[in-house]
Amino acid sequence: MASSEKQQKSVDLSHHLSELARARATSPLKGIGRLFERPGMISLAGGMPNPDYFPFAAISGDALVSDSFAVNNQPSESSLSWLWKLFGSSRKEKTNAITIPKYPTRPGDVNLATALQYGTATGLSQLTKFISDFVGKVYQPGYSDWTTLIQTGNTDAWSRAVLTLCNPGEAFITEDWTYPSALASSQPWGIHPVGVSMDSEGMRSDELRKLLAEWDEAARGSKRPHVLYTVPIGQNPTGMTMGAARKKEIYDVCVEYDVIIVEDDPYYFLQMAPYAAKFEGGSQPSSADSEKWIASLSPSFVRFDYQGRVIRLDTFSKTIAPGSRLGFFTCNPVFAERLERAGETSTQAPCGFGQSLITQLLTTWQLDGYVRWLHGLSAQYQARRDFFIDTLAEEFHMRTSLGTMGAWRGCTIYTASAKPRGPMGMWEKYALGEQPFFSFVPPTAGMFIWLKINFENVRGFQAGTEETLESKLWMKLAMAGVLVGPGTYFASKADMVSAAEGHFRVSFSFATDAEMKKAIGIFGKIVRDFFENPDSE
Amino acid sequence: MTFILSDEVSQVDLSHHLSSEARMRRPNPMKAIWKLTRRKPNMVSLANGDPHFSLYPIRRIEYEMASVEEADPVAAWRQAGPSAASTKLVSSTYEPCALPLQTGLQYSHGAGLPDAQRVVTELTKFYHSPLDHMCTLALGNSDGIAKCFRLLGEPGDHFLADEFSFSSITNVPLSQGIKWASVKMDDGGIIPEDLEKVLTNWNPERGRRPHVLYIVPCGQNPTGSTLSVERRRQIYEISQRFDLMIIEDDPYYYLQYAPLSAPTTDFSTPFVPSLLSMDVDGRVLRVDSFSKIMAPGMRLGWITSSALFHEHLVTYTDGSTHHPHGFGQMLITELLSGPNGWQIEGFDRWVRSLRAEYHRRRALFLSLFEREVASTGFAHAAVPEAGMFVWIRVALEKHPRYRADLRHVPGANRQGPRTNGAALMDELFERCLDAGLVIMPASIFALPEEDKFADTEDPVQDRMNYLRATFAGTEEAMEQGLAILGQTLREFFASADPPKQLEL
Repeated sequence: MASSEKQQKSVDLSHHLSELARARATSPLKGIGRLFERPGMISLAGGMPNPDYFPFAAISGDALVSDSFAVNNQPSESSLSWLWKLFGSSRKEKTNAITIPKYPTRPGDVNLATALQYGTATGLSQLTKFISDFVGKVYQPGYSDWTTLIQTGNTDAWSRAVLTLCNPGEAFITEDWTYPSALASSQPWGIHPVGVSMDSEGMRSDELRKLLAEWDEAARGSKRPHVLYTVPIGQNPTGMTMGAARKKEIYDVCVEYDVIIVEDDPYYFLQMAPYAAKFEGGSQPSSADSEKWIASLSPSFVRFDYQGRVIRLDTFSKTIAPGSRLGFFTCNPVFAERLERAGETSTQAPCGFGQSLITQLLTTWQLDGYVRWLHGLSAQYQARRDFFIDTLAEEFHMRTSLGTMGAWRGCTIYTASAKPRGPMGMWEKYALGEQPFFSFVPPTAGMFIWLKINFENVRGFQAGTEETLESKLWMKLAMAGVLVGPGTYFASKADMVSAAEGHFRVSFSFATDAEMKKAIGIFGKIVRDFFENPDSE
Repeated sequence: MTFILSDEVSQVDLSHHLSSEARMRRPNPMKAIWKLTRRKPNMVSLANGDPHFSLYPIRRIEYEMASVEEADPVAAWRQAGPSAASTKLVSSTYEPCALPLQTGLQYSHGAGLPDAQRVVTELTKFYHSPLDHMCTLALGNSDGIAKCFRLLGEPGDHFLADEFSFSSITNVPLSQGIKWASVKMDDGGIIPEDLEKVLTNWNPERGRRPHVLYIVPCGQNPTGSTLSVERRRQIYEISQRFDLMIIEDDPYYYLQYAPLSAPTTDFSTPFVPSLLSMDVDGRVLRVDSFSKIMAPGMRLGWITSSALFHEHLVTYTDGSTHHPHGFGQMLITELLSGPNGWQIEGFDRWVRSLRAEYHRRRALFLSLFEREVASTGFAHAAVPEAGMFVWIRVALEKHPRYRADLRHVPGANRQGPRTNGAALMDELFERCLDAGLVIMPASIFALPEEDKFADTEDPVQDRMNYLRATFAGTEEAMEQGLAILGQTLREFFASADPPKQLEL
């Protein structure tokens, strides 16, 4: 918030609210709620259970210290070595005990009597404060009256945001390839995605402008979209990451065409250095200094937001644990108020156990400690990505080239083909040669590698069968014990499957090193067999 | 993995009750993969973006909870303070437990984690023994009800409910385009004959006949009324005849009390059978919650429904809220099935002990009410058989400015209210506030209904002479609050002249 004295307040964007959002009334009970706050008031009104009856005395947890993971990308700190620790190795993990008592011992302490009572829909005050400090320091919104609001995870947050902004039947803008849960939440209202083509930095700003400028309401059957949904960092599924300049361009187009940006950014802190193969010395570690590291990350859309037209979605799912179901919005106060109403009549507050534990964890670590934790996480994911690609390179013959056109222009493309095995003639016999099986661009953020499969090289390939081949290969992999994300799941529209290409989204976030090795071995065998003989049983 | 409560399968197809929104929902494809990963033991999944559990900063969570070893655990818990006997439930990455932390904090699918789903299924079976139903976890009671509304409601539909209902719930579907049609109630709750009358005399100009009944059968909010078994049977029978779906919202089920004359609610006092337990067709969606019996901030509840509605609830959950948080799921799994947990038997002891505790609070409230308020002769409290609320009738007919002839004065609206009760109650509410008491007026619970179709024979405005009070608060609040109420009523009933600010 360094420059807040120069910053403007958000502009009036209330015309973007959907009819549903406008129709949401403040509950009359909440109106009466204000009366409770009058000093000395006796209440026989509410139905809050007496906290004496909560059967909880305390909740405590063992939490890792914030510098548990090294920041210099050492593969030895991977999950596999963690398993070794589990089986009685001497290297014990360092943890802090955190405790949340039922009643506070000092005023301002996080306590269960408050966290487990009604009325925490806007968040425990200690959590709200932490989040607000964090957003101000890390994302640095470009206008003065931004606010934050807790929510129960980004899927819920997006489903609230889309219904707060879009009326049934409207279109919203997204990347050509996108996260299917985002499509699922709006689809029953006929609120449908319109894809914008992508390049190495995700959504293209020139294509976005073109789409908006040439929008033909009659031909499209819906008015020009006024909402843009994007996953700008470690995009799901393609793994692409958008830099500052592109974000600024897209923001400016959105100002010009009066579009609200919903920035779904779960992978923000999983930004990493470019991949470099083992024989090239491996990828670079990030700065050892966490302050410098966080300042080096691609800025959030909210940094460029001088009008308040960005609704940013953050989640603790990737940085703490998915089961926390806790996250927060950063947006202008008018939208925040309507989003709060939408939550009030459905999920209400995120769970009090999670709110209090995570608050206690974050306030124990403090802001610098949390940043250090995130820094360690990003190094972990970088090690996982590197291990995964290194292992792929052992399984296949890997060739690199510079992309010259299309979505991968300017990127280093990795192309995998069969590894010559045994006598040199073996693969020539099957006329495979160096015909590539698949190619990909190593991601610089997130959890996913987006594999483009060259189905035209499958023996007996006929145009128009790609989707069948994709599902066929997917099924073979599943039968052999490896699950990947089928590309068609992520298509923003059904007719996007391009000639001779299929896709798989593979994640390097969850499997252990041993599991990755095993899975890649199976993957290699199945892919080689499939390209040779797709119809074998 | 699914858990069916019984092998008997109902035969009635109720799929026509689904909203078009629900029919249009497609299952979230990522969740289909998630299910596959659970099917084969040696599957390696590279499909989902789940962080590896070694990257969670939390390794172990310990919930220190009341012990239920005592005969009357709630009383013991309250009285002993910090020295009360407790039990420690642990969910951990490296210790044996019912639901390990690394599973509890992962993504799962909309019905909840299989272990957590299993324990609520067993709990439901223990209390209701329903035929052929399944449980879906929800993020608390309001989330569960909101999901049921979305599952069944078509814009323009009317849902049926008590004419006085909890407005935080009845507001929920309004933005979805749902309207309400009210059914009259008496001390025993919703009147089955009136329900039948509303359905029989339905005016098609309002839209299609209602197909959803929203009901709070125990300790109804705000009236505190509880439906007798006989009324429940009648309501179920009417629902079958008129093809209604019933949303049974029952947060106060465990707080059912013996008559006031009994010294306590004995542990053996039975619970009134739920509508779910009578449901042979699969037309009941029952919503349960831990809010009132454990703590509201847990934000964990569950919906019990037929398999058809379960499937649709799961699909909706996967595309909106996702499954409930892991913390609560780990807790209930440890609590109801873990090595140090209460188990269902201990849970039952806790809730029966809790209702004995609330029985004492009810008795205290009503004796204070007798002394401070009923003694004025201007108000009367109905004795609630369940829940936390007392519905207080104010004897407005004794007020010097009470009028029952509003329709007969020259130029009056012949369809309007007969009495000035609503205005007098507003005045009483203001006077209470001025005296330092917040108490809920009936008017804020009146079901929002379109004026055009309101009951002109017997308008609800003439039945607004009630207040809702709670005995869930502290004893001091009850004592002081009821004293203020008694004093305010005395002054109010002595005021022959209207207060200045309310003059018309």
